[in-house]
Parts: sequence; structure tokens; C-alpha cells
Amino acid sequence: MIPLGYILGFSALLFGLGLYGALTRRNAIRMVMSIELMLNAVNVNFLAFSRYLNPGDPRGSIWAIFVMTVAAAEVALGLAIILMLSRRQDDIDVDKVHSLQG
Amino acid sequence: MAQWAWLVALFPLLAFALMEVAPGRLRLRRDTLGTVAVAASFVVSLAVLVDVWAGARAAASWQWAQVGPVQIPMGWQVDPLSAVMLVVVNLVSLMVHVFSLSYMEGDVRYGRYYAILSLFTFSMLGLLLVDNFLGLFIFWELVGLCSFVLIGHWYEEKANSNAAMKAFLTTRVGDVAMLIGILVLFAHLGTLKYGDIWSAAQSGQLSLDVITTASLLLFGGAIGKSAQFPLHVWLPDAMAGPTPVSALIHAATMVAAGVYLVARAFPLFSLSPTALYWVAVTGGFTAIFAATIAVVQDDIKKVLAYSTISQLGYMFLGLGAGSLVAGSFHLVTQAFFKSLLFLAAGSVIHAVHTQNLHEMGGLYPRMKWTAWTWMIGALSMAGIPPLAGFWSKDEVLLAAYRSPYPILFWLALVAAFLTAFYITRATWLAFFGTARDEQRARHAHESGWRMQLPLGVLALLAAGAGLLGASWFGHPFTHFIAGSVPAGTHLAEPEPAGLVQGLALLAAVAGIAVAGGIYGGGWVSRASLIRAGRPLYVLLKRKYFVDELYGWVFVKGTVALSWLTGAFDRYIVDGIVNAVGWLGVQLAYATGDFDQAVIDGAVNGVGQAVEGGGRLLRRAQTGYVSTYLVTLATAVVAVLILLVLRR
Amino acid sequence: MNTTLLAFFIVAFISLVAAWRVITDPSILHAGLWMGLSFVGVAGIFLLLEAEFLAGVQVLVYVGAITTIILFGIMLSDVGEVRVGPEPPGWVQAGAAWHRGLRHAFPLLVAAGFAGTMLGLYTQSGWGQLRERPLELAGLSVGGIGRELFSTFALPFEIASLVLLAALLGAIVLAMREEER
Repeated sequence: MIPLGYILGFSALLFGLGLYGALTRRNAIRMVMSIELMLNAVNVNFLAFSRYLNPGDPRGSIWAIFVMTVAAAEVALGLAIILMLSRRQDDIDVDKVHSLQG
Repeated sequence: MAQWAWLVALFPLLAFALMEVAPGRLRLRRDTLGTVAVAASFVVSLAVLVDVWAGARAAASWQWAQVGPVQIPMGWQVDPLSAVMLVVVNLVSLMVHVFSLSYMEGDVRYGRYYAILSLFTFSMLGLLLVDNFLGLFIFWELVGLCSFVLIGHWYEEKANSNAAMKAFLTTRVGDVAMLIGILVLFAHLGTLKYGDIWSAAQSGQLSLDVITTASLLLFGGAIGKSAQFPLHVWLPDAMAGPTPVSALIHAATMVAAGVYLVARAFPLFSLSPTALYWVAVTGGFTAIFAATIAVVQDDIKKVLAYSTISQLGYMFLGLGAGSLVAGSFHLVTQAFFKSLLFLAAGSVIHAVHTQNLHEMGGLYPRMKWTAWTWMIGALSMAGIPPLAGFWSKDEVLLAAYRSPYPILFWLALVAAFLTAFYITRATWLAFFGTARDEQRARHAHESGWRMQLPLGVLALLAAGAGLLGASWFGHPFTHFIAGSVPAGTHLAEPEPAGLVQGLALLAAVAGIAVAGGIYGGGWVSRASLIRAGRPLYVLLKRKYFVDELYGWVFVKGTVALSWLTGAFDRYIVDGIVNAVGWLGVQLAYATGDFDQAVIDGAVNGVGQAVEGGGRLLRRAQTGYVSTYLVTLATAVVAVLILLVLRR
Repeated sequence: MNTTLLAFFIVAFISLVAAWRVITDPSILHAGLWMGLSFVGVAGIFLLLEAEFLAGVQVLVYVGAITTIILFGIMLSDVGEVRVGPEPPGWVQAGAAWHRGLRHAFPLLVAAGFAGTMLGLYTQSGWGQLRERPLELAGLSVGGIGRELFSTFALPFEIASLVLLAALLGAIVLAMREEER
């Protein structure tokens, strides 16, 4: 049997890694990947809490499914944006996308 | 009948919904649909008023939402204040609907215009009916949204859509304060229902500081919505909308909402002398401030716009002086004479296709109906007895006179003089004298019953509505409206003073006489007048440079702010090395500027420094997504840590 | 140490190492593959939590769909890695290491701060030692999820499908070449 704390610890570490990646990487695709890692960590939490605190309740899984739906939508849109970006400036360095600059 | 009051708001909403979903042929009749709906709603509101006048009250409340342990009820109520306003709003809206049938005929977005008018009317009626601050806020924003759409009705022209945005954003500044005020009340009491809040405040459950803070924050919303100084800048620009819409905005909806808010929350305001003081000062100052600007405007609608701001100032002055009746009474009469003036102006504009007073003149023989109704409205606003404006303005002046700040009375008196002056000036320039543009004057004509009927009805009311509050009949309005605040609210209803009435009348007559003398009698020529008071003229003409000041402060302020955030970026996030390099560049710039300064002289140098500074500040706004992300994540983690530490 | 715990450690370790490689692998293509591995690891965790259906969905959606899309994206955008700019001047290079450290140190601090706070929170709350209870007979069945999804969560479910549709349309419009529009 796995103590709940171990699983939560795993998800916290996974989330932290994803966060670090999203903050430091300049490559847009790598940022998207890091965000996916964070979403995965969230799903692990949903399932872990559902399993340990309320076993048999399907709601934890349902929330995870919704998160996956949103993640899929986000990846599709994100990659479309990245594709457009790469066509426009031949590069997907997010630090070079600063047309919002004043 | 009072228990059916919710029908009043239902009709326009249904009309709007029908207009939006209606198919094919029905869509073409959207004007009729909207007019009929408002007419029905007017009839109901009239019945409700009669019922309420007889002493009936009605309210209903139900559970709307539940967020965790917080219950959010929603409900409606009718009391004297809202019953009166329901009738006023419906009447003015109905008149605007009828007037627009002709005025807006053949417009590109005729159908949409009527749909939004219905939504606008519904929002305002809802605002009057709800019994809690949350509902008030929702309808408040709906009103703002509708006025945004209508001001930008002809959005093809950039100026119009800019005016709409300006109105929306300026009022939003006040709305933020108002929302915070509502939240302050909610945080302390856990309820947003008017009745609960009033009783809690009166029973001493709220400290005076909280009451003052909440009142002033709520008043912030009213300042924005009712275009009081310093958030008045949107109202004159809102003239970009169709003229009937201006009539609606200036009389019944939108700007009335701010005054209504303060009147509605009067049990709260009346507990805090500080809050009342600021309401009175803001109102008094705005009254005279806007009146002086109105004196020099050349656009007939701008004259009316500034006069609205000035009249709204009167209302706040009345409320701030502690007289609920004075403020709400003036709100009612102003609704009649101001919508009348706007619709009459619309009739003129429709006939001569210009808004410039100097291109009019000599219209009286060709537009007698419009001219007469306009003059009734003008005299009513100037305060000539027994027209409506005299009675309500008298109440305000009286309240100011008896208030602890008599200086406000003298300000208001001067404003009354100016009011009479500028409206007489506009009257003369538009209708009398020689036609300055023969071509336009010759083609001017009345535009049919659909435009004349509303003018007639409103003229009747602008003349007669004041009798409701006249001393001749023992102030029936005063006793009636006092029933809309809980017993125990301090209502300053001062004894009438002959001196005040005399002075008010004197100011009005003097204003009319001076204006008539200058523009009609030709005592002094306009040109020499302008020459004599050149600096003052420019100052007024440019509206005290408030717009310019805002442009300067907010644009420069934003740049400065972006510089600060940018500096944070460069120094902390992007690292010290980068910063050192950046500083080197700055130093080079600075020395460069210094060189220039020495060579080109001090004045030139200052200019250079400002320009160079602006350039640097601009560069500081990064636009880097990573910067934003880091900031976001840092904030999240900081909040998280804070939450953990508080456990 | 029982086998379940051992399996958890192995799966978690693989998943975390893979996640680390996602961030650090110099080749973006390899990073994408590492991400797939990390997702498989998470699916393993789901299995250990006795959520077989979710594990299946995880493999299908994340490993099957999202990883594939991302790999496609990498190949289509045809820019393997962010290009390194021209060499900075000497005086910048002097402090370049320091600069790079700072650029990474602060986010590291934030990320570590987050993970650390969460871990501290979990320890403090006493969830850490909580053991799972056996599933009831009804269990976490696919049927239960389905019933719940189409009754209680029917509206969110429909909205989610709309979100997907909107994302689909948006992605197509965005990715279309200018001349195709």
C-alpha cells in the first residue's frame, strides 16, 4: 500500500519540474510540453484524493477527464499558434515574440 | 397593482428577446414592437404609482445562488422613490421611442437601434426595481453597456466609437470604486439587501468609519455614472450618439442611475456627515463648473450636455445638503425638461442638418411648435415659476441655504444665473435673430406628428410636473418620497425661505435678461466680448483643459508605470549583467543629452531630456511572455505561502 | 517494502526523470519522446491507484494524441531548437554565467518554493500517512463514471465538447496558410 503522501509528493515534484520548464524555456514547444507536465500533476492529485478520501466516487476521474479535454484543446491551439509563428519569423523563440512591447 | 410591478421590467425585456430571435417579417416591425412594449410598461408603471401613492408597497425575494456558505438572494421591491422613477423612465423612454420613429427613419441599423433601446429601458427599470446592491450592480453595468452601444451607434466614424469607448472606460473608473464599496458592505454585514443594510447601519452595527468609507466608494460609482467632476469628461463626447439617445441618456437612464444610487442609499449616506459633505461639495462644484463651460459652447447638443452635468450637480448638492426630496425632485423635473430640450434640439437638427448654433438662427417662423416647446423647457430649466424647474431648483437652493455650508448656496445661485444665461443664449441663437445660413433656414420645417407629439407631452410635464412639489399644494411630493426611507432616517426638510425664492427668481430673470440683451438686444457684440475676455474664453472653450490634463497624466503615467515594471524586469529577472549593460547605455544617452544640453542651451536640453526619457520608457515595456509568466508564478507561490503561513 | 510500493517508486522515478529530460534534453524531438515516457509513467500511477479507465484514457489521449501532435508540430514547424544568437561582446561574456544563473535561479526558486510549500502542506495536514481504503464492491467502474458524466455532469460535458469544437476550428483557422484563406 502506498501512503497518500508519496503520491502527493510525486505530483508536487512533477508540477515543480513543469513549472520550472515553463518559466525558463524559450522554445515555445518546450513550454507547451512543460505545461502538459503540470496538468498531469494536477490529474494525479485529483485521482489520489478521490481514491484515498472518497473511494468509489467517480468524480475524481471525471474531473481528470475534463482536464484532459482542456489540455487537448490547449495543445491543438498552442501548436497552431506556434506553427503560425514559425512561418512568420522562422523561429519559435518566445522571447522574440514581443509585439506587445510598448 | 403594486405586486405586479415586475411586469414593468418584463415587457421591454420580452420585446428585446423577441426582436433578437424574431424571424423575417416580424423583424421588420421591431420599432412597433419596442414602442408597444414600452407603452404597456408605462401603463403598468402608472398604475403602480397610483397604488404606491395610496400607500401600497410590494417586494419579493428568492434564493438566487449559493456559493459555499454564502447565500445570494435576489429580489425586487417598489417604494415611492422607485415608483416615481419607473414612471419617469417609462415616459421618457416611450417619448424617445415615438420620436425616433421619425428621427431614425431609414437608418442603417434601425432595427438594432430599437432592440438596444428596449434593452436599455429594461436595464434601467431593473435597476430601479431590484432590492439589493448585487442586482443594482448588474443592471448598472447593463445600462453602461447599452449606452456604449448606442453612443457608438454610427460606429463607422472613428470619433463615434472612440466616444463610446471613452464613456465606457470613464464610467468604469467609478464602477470599480462602487464595487469595492459594495464589497465593503458585504464584508461587514454579509448581506447586500437594502433593507438589511439600512437597519444594520441605523442600529449602530456599522462603525461610522465603515459607513463613511462605503458611502464615499458608492458615491464614486455615482460620480462616474452621473458625470460629476472629475469623471464628467465622457458625457459631452456621448453626444456622438443619435439625439434621441442623448435625450434618453441625459434624462431617464444612465446619468439618472448615479443620482438614484445616492438617493437609494440615502439612509446610509445620511448617517455620515463626511460623506454628505463630499456629495454636496462635488455637486456644488460641478454645477458651477459645467455651467461656465456651457456658456461658450457652439454645438447645441454640447450646451445641453454641459447643462445636464450642471443640473446633476444640483441634484447631488441637494442630496448632500441632506435633503432627499430636493435631489430626487430635481431628478424628476430635470428628466422632463432635459428630454424635452434634447428632443427639440433633435427636431431642429433634423430640420437644418447642423448642430452648430452659429449656423442656425431665424428658425422661429418655420418651426413654431418646436420653438415653443423648446422655450417651455428652457424657461423650466432656467427656473421661471410656475414651471417645474423652478420648484425643484428652489428645493435644492433651500437645502443648500439651510445646510452647514452656505457657501454652496451662493455657488448654486451663480450657477442658476449662468443656467438662465446659456439657455437663453442657445434659444436666441437657434430660433431668433436673422438666419445666419439662409439656405438651411429656408428648408427648415416641422417633421410630422411623431416628432411633435413627444415634444408636446414633455412640454406639458416640464411645465406642470413641478406642481407636485409646489408649496401651493403643501408639498405632496415631499411627504410621498419620505416614505421610501426607513423611519428614523434623518431627512433635512428645511422651512421655506422667501429670501431664497426671491434670489433664485432674480438670478433666473437676470440671466435671461443679460443673455437677451447681449444676443438679442445687441448691447455688446460677441466679438468684442470674446476679445475682452480672451484667456477666460479659451479656458472655457477648452473645458478647463481637463481632457488634455487626463491625456497627459494617464498616458505619461502609464509610460512611467511601464518603466517601473520594466526596471523590475531588467534589474531582477534578466539579471545584473544585463542591467549593467543597460545602465551603460543609459549613461551614454545621458551624457549625450548633457552634451546637447550644454550646446543647445537649457531650454532645448530639457526638451531633449523629456524626449529621450520617453524613448527609454517606451523601450522598458518588455512584452516578453517569460517575464509575465515568472511574475504570475511568483505571485501564485507568494499567495500560496501566505495561505500556508496563516493556517 | 511490498511490491506495490516498489512499483510506485520505479514508475514515479521513471516519470520524474523523463520529465527532467523534457526540460533539459538538447534535442527538442527527444524531449517530445521523453514527454511521452513521462505520460506513460503517470498512467502507471493511475493504474496503481486502481483507476484503470483513467490509465487507458491517459495512454490514449496524452501518449497517443498529444505526444503525437507535439511531435508533428516539431517536425512541421521545422525549427528544431532555438537558435543561439551571435556571440555577445567580451564584457558581457564576463558576467554571462552569472546572468544565466540568475535567469534560471529565480524560476528555480519559484518552482522549488511551490513544490516545497505543497510538500510542507501535505505533511502538516496529516494526509501523508493516510492509507487507502479498499474499494467498495461497486468500485470505480467505467459504468459509474459514464452514468455520472451523463447525468450530474451532463452540462459541463456538453460544454467541454463545445470547447473542443471551438479549439478545432481555431486551430484550423490559425494554422491555415495566408493564401489558403
